[in-house]
Amino acid sequence: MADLTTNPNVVNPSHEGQVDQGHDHGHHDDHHHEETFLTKYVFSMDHKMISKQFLITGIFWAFIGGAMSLLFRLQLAWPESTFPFMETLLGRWAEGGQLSPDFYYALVTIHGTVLVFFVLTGGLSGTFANFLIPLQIGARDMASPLMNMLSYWFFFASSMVMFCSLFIETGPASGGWTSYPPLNGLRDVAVNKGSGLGFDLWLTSISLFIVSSLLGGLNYISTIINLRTRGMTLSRLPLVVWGLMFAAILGVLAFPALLSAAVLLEFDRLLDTSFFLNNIVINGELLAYKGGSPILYQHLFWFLGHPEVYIIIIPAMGIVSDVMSVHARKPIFGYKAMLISMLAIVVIGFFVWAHHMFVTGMSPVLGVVFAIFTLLIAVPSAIKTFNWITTLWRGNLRLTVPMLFCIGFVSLFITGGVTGIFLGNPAVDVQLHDTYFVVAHFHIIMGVAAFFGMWAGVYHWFPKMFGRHMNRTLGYMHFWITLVSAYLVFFPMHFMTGFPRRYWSFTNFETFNTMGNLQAIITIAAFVVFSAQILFLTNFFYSIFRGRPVTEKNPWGATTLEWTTPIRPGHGNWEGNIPSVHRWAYDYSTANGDVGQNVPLQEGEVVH
Amino acid sequence: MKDSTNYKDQITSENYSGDNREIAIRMHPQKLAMYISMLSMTMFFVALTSALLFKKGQDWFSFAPPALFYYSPILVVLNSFLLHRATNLYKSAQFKPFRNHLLLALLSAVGFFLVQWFTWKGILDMRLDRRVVSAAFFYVIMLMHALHLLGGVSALLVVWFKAWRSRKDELFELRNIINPRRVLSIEVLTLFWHFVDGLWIYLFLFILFNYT
Repeated sequence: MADLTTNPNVVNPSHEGQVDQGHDHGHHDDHHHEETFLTKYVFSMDHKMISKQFLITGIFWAFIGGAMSLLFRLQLAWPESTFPFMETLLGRWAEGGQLSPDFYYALVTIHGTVLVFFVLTGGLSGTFANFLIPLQIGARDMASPLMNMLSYWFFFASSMVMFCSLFIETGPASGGWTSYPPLNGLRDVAVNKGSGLGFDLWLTSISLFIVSSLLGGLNYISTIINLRTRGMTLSRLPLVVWGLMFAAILGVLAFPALLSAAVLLEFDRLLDTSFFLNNIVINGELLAYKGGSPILYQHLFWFLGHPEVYIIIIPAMGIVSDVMSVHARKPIFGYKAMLISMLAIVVIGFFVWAHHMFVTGMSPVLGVVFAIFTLLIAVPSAIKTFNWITTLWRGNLRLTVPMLFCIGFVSLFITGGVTGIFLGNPAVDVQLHDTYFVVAHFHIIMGVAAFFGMWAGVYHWFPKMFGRHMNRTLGYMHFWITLVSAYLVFFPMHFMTGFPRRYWSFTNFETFNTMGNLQAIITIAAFVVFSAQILFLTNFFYSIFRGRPVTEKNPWGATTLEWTTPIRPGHGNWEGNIPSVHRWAYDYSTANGDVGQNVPLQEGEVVH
Repeated sequence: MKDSTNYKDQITSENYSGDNREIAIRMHPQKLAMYISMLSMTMFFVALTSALLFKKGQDWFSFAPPALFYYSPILVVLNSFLLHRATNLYKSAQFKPFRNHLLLALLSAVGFFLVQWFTWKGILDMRLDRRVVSAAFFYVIMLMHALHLLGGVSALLVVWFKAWRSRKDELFELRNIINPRRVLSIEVLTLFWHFVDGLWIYLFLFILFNYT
């Protein structure tokens, strides 16, 4: 409440009655109070700056998580070899240049955690919800800029706790990103090194992250519902805004379940309760825990865990829909079908969590119910895929970098989606559970595909974010190398269907020698993917400072409202009144050309 | 939501429709955010209580809570009633009774905490092993609810302190009655308290049903 005074949604009376001049100011803080470095770049309440903070923190974690995967991929490819640089880098965790099993598990755990939560949730939703919601719905800022700022700083605190956990004596959490008890319910480092302080820090970090997500989500939803400009009816919202709102709804309803699991788990660890623990024997000694159920934790975890994949992918779907429409110069095919499909995915997504638990001994009848709902999700997903392809069909395609990433997203979504249908069947899943087939499935659909959506968004909205263009050649290189080598990493894993995931080494198993050098090929491809990301990183930061300056307000010829703001908008976004909206966001290639949402209807035009 | 009073229209017109707003719900966004956060908090307690039901389906040790526990709903109902009255008194510019009602609401919250504390102690005195899941659930549910309440008490203290500080300056309050920020803060606070009070009724009935 206190931040209403600083809420730029409050009209500045001096601007009443002005028309939107729309010229470039060339600086950020033209018509607002003087800002210091701290208020402008650090403790900023401007949604655009907060979005950049989310993005850069997300990029930081993407590189940390990505680099971790390279280390454990080296171990998987050449388990007998030694890499002296590892000992230099990791010290006693890689004595003699070979990754210790303990640290291998820690790397896998932190890789999964940071990629899922910090990069693809915080980095993706945090960036684009903050940046696009006020700009695309025609608002000067979020409903509560203070809460928005807090959302970022809780994310930052969560990041810092996780980062610190990497350097403690007993090592970071190492019981898998799902942190199942009983392994993670015991604080005994003799059982598992990462179960000590590392896991306490992991739980603290995730709890802070949940607070950040809730603060952000509340803000996104109330902003979209209440702060739309005149004429911006719900049916005229761009699909990306819908996607961000659905993800926020999923977040505010599902994250509390994870929080409750975290609370109960911490009780078990610190106060010796037995919510999840029962009859544990360690070194022949029966511990006093009794009556708990580890399966209960899995229910609570996956009640968030499964909607989490939609929290990740739905904003990416929204970004792809809108960016694709701009660069195909065509209205998105089936706007309402897209919208209803997203809604269907959100609703059904709440009833499928137990498909992660088919091997826990659940009743087959219950398993079938969850399987039916899981397979039902294929219907709206297929509708969306069909609509993306039909949007491309006979479009006036501009194969820009963001467009290529959109097309890449569709390809990955199909590849990863098809294997989801396999895994949704309990009879098949029982065989494939916890194998490389599952690793391939979820990395392609919620890892690489979501990344492609994110990159499409970054390349597309970079000119609006920083007033400069990214380098196109580096962008094309980034796309092609990433697409080809990401497929090279994950596609072969489909054929490693019997390989259990999370194994440190397969050399002692005769049965796994059939795949020859596949692990080595995958690792080499992973290094190539990572090197392409260095191209992206260079391009991103170089372009912020030295990129080709944007000279026109609407470089892509898009129709949405963000492109009606000055090239470098200040806090408050529009200089004069906020423009009204008269049509939907997809009037491309009409009889009147490409028409922005703020352009009044011409005579004889049909209203959307 | 009822939204007929003038000051609410004022908030809307001053802050949100003066700039060409498309209003879907005539409610201040921060109030809407409170409603959404209530949904989120509900999900948290639904998860906790569902976990209890899941566990109860396997094996369960029932015990009767201490007698004092049965007085807790009276205090939360009283608290909600006092805050509801306080909000109305503020809107009708009756500042002295407004302050008194806030103070009484604070006292009822403190009373509730005391009841919870002695209930907790009563369960400890039963010498149940903390590994008895039903006892552990009892502690967690009470603790989590108390943590939510603590947030409400802090906010209530701030509002009461502001009201008390300006007790000799009736004009200050009069000026503030047309200040939408102040009205909004009182309304959102009352909303939160209604929620945590209602939540306790749910938890109380839930415990009653599952423990006795």
